[in-house]
Amino acid sequence: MINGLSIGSVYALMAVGYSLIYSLLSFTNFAHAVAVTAGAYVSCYLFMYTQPNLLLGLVASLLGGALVSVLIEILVYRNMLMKRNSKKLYLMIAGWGISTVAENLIIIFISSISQFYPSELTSMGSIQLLGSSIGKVDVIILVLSILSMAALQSYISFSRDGLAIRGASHNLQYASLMGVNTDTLLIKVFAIAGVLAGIAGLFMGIKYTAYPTLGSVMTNKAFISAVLGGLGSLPGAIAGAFLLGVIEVFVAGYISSALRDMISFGILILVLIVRPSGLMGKSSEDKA
Amino acid sequence: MNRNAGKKWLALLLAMVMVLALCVGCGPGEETEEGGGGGETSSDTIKIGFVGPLTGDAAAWGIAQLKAIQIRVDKCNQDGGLLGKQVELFYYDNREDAVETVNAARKLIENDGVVAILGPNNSICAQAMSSVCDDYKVPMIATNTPLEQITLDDDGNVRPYVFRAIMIQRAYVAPLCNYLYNDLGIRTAAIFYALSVDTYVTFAQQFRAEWEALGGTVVAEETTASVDDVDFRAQLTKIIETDPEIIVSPMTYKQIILMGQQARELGYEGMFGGCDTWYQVSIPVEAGPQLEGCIAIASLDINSEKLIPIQEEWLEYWGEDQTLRDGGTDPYYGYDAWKMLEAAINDAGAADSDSIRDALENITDVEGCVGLLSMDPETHNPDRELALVTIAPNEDGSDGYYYKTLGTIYGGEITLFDE
Repeated sequence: MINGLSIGSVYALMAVGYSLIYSLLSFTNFAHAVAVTAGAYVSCYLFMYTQPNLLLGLVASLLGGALVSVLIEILVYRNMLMKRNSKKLYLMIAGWGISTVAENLIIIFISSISQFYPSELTSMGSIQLLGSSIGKVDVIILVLSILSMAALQSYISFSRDGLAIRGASHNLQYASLMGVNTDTLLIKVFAIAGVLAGIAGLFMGIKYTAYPTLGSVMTNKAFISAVLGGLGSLPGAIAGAFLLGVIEVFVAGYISSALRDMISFGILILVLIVRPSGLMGKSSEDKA
Repeated sequence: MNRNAGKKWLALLLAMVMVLALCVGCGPGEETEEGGGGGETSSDTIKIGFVGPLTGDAAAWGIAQLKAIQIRVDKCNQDGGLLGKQVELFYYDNREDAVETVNAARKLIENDGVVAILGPNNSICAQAMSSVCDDYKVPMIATNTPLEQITLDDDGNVRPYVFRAIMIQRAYVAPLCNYLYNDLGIRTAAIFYALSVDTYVTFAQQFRAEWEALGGTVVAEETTASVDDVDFRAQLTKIIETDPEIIVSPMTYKQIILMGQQARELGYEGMFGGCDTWYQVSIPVEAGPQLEGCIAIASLDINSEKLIPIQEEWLEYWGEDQTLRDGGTDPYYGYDAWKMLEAAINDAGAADSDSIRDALENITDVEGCVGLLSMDPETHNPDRELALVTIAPNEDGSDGYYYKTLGTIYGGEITLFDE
């Protein structure tokens, strides 16, 4: 159960990023995977030159993820969205392309082989809870993920930028008319999504190594979580992610690991049929 | 004629061109069938092909293998070539994909006119390529491909143009079971493997059959869906509940490392075991403490002193050896595959595909990287030495772990080294 919640918490970090961008721009940012992978590699390589320190890794990963996410927004999406008024589908395809290009760049310039984190972080040992051994790293990841999402929720609920984000999530153009600098706002939103993605990349890297397709493999699950909870709804994305994490662990443990992905995607299809807006999402129009 | 009609004619013309290209590209040409062999040498060179993953997740192994072969080709040419002719090496990236492998093989044979192909290093890709090589009558030597079916057609007959440089998987399983059961006294085993790879599935089946034939018990058998899976806590929890003495696991090296770490976290105190997939330099580096004492059958002894000259030659040629280390056993299998081909061409005294095929079937005592290689003409599988290895702390007392060779295996018999 703790493992399921731990995995779910990481999915939640990524799913919130998906939902945040979707709530403003109404398209699914598949390039989000690049920020996750960047977060993993930045801290992994940092630890080759420094003592392994989780806090240091956290800072490096969130900065790396934020930087990559903002660069993608400035170099690609802004050009397509603002200057060419491209359809949402094209933005989604562009994101997909960026993700593929990034994976292959890593393979070419770094390596296809998985990069391992120091054992001080990967093998922290376990604690006994109710007769079961639970990895310390799982508990730490769960706690830090929850704290990160709580910080985000506070930021969105109580800050001026948060107010602007909430306003723009209803209608970006109206927010602009109300005096919100949407260019700056989008940079901030992508930066926030990138921060969360970077943190997710660090946690995924510690648990499962840093490898070129880390982001795309994991963000597929995050995408399912976001759809399950409702694209555009941050609480929905978090709920969907935890639900998916727990379901996956229980299916793998009590039914069959071979059915895990089938059931995950089956749930996605069911939700799209029965309730396309997700458990807590807003109405669906022009979804990409 | 209006613009729309013009576009339609253009589209129709393009479609006809594509269909025509498809028809021309399919199947072996008449020359290859009538000639009784795929490729023939030009007047000055002997053309050899290589297929392997040069990009993608498996690039590290493919590149290492290609580089090992390139060294051999260059050395051969410096020494005068084969049969007085220089060797030309053509290579294509298959991205460890079966469809790409078939395309690469066709290109090598039809466009480049190679007389033989080395590779690939993946069983599924080799299986896909085997029918192509038989159809075109061009011999291939698959490298690290232990899946038994590669050299067999659908009727179970040996494919005439398909050979391999590695022993089949069954040759690993029996000595592993014997050693665990008879030498270590283990009686209960759990099997954990990835479903998406045929060699892993057949290993699991063969292990169970051999283990139970000896009198052992398989107390648990769990799977993970794919080689991309990274979290096994649910399956490991179920395995640990059955209290096996050993978990035997054919998976990728990354999965082995993660499995070891996760199993220890969950409180597992038993042993681990496996086959050739365990033989990757990252494993003792990243999970030495967790996997210490594991037992694996490796396709060659990575600690053999016979590899030192090869390693020194590599360093001198390429100026670095990180690629060699990252490549695991792949570069050495590239070396052996070349040696087998070289011996066949010299024995044949000719460099056409049929002559090479006939000679390959009968090569004996070829000097491979760690010992002599002989081809079994009945199966097209080589007889060669395997190694029994474990992970142990560094002998010089420094921090870290390494693969320690416990003994060698030949003809199914284990010879343990004295301590």
